[in-house]
Amino acid sequence: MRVQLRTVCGGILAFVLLASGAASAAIRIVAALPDLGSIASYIGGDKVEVSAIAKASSNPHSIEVFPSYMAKVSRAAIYLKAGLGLDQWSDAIIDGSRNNKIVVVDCSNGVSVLEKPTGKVDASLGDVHPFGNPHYWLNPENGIVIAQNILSELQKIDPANSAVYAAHFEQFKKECLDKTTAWKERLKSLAGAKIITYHSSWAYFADAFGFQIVAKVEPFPGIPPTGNHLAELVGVIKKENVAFILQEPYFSDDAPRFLNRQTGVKVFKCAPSCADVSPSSYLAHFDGIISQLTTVPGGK
Amino acid sequence: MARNTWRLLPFVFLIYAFCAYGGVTNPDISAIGQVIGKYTDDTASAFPKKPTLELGEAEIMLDAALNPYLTGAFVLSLGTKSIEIEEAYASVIRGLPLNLGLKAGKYRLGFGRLNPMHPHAYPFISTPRVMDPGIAKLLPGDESFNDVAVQASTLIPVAGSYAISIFADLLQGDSFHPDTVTANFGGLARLVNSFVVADVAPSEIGFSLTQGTNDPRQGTKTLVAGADVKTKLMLSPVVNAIVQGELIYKNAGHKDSLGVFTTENRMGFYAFTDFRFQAHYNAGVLYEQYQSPFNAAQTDRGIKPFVGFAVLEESTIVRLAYEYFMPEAATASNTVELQFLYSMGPHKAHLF
Repeated sequence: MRVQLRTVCGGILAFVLLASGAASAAIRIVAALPDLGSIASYIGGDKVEVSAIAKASSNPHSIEVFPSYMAKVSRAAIYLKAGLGLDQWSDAIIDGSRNNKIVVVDCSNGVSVLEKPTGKVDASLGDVHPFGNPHYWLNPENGIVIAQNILSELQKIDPANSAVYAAHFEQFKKECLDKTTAWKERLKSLAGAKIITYHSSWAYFADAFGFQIVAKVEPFPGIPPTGNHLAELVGVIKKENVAFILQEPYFSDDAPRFLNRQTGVKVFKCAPSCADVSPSSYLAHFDGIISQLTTVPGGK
Repeated sequence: MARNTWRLLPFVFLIYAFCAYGGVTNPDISAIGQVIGKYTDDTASAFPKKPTLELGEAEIMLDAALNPYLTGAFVLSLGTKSIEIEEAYASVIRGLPLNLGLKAGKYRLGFGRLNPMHPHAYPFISTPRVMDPGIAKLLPGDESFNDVAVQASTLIPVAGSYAISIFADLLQGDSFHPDTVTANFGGLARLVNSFVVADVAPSEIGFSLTQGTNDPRQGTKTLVAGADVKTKLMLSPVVNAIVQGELIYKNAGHKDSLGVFTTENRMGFYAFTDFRFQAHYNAGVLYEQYQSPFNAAQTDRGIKPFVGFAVLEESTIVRLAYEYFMPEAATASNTVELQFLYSMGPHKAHLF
């Protein structure tokens, strides 16, 4: 009986060790957002194993901290944080993981931050971010800044493969710049178009592709629209000849539908994050959004 | 209660010392206030069939990193006539071997899911009767199971999304015998299995066990065991449903003045579902039942539908709840509560 017990215990221990990937040689990276994870997969190639906490359909402001996220991070070498106050939940996950060796990379380092509030910042402004708009990955040029941050850390952790990571970075940078030029060309006829966004997620996207955000469906960040605010938006859409509304999938359809019914304005429901952490996902996400937007009359 | 507060002073000074040593002068400060309007026809209540307006419990929370390895927190509970230290603890969050975490101080103990939470964080207004030590008397304590304790915990990643958390607490033990102060340590152990079902339903199944001395003179003990489950179903990007329940079993030994030993066995549970819509709205229903603390042969039951609206996450919330309470030994009662809850301070991470 004792031998059997020993065998069972040994088997369980072996399963736990194998399942927890004790033998895995790849550098484990956990990203707060799939976009950061996708770029990390591109730069790291087969030298890294990447996963993400948030999903494309999640509101990145309010991810619930779950122990399995902590377990994931407890085995990771690098955590990619979005920063700028967006993912405060990342700190709870990192602390809960009790991983003493993890390197936390704030991917917002080096980004030119938009919409930095001035004066006193408090909840009278809504759920405003005191460090500025944190949705910076939606400008593909900021994708290069993110890639640079990841590259620097990978080269420190794994100097033996430094040249491999550098080559991947150069390839990513070229692909990103080439595609950005092509996307801008596709959206040329919409350049300067006035648009409305539901939340402030699209400030960097608009900045990158020359759209002018004239209003938001939320009267203040995080506050649901009121009847009066929607009535004002109807006026804005008619007066400013708004080309379209960009809506995140985790917000209610009610207000955008109402505006569509009242004015005929086109509504695009687009996730502000890419689908997964595969290397092609980050750039493919822009492809998808831009293909949708080119269906607007006047787009190519 | 004031006696317990004075006994906490060493912990207050300890945390202050950590703060001062670490150069931390500005902890995060959160304040929570509420107003509750209530109407009940329960003849056992203080104001039957009379609408009341109460300033519910207010809280002030201070927390900060003390150094790269430790955090500290205070939760002060403010009544209209008294201030009480509800929680005061320091936690070691990293630096220990074997993924160990340590926590020391006074805190709401991690027995089950609801007890460690502050009531303002519930999706409904008041603590379910079965979880209120002052009502169902299943858990030790007066308003919550709260004690001075030292906790060691660890997180074991198993495979995929499956992880096991283990907590072990050594308790001062006063919560088991609130009327007497003696050194009779108690213990608490908790094991939590966390996993994600089909990538859309984060879930936890937990088991808790605590034991302490309920009568220091007679040396009799109380043992409470609990099992709990919580799952969150992501029904769409804008709708999710939380299903949660806890089952509690209590076994207590008592000796009367003649030395005659008797045992008391009680059981109770609650279950609720809470639908959340578009981040601002929630609606659900809670059912609970437990053996009466006065007569184990009688069962008290309650059903409570509730709705809520949060203007901006948890900073401004309006909740409405109705309770139909069916005690076996008395007439059923109806209670309606309307709560306006507000909080100010830094935005905190949402824990599952």
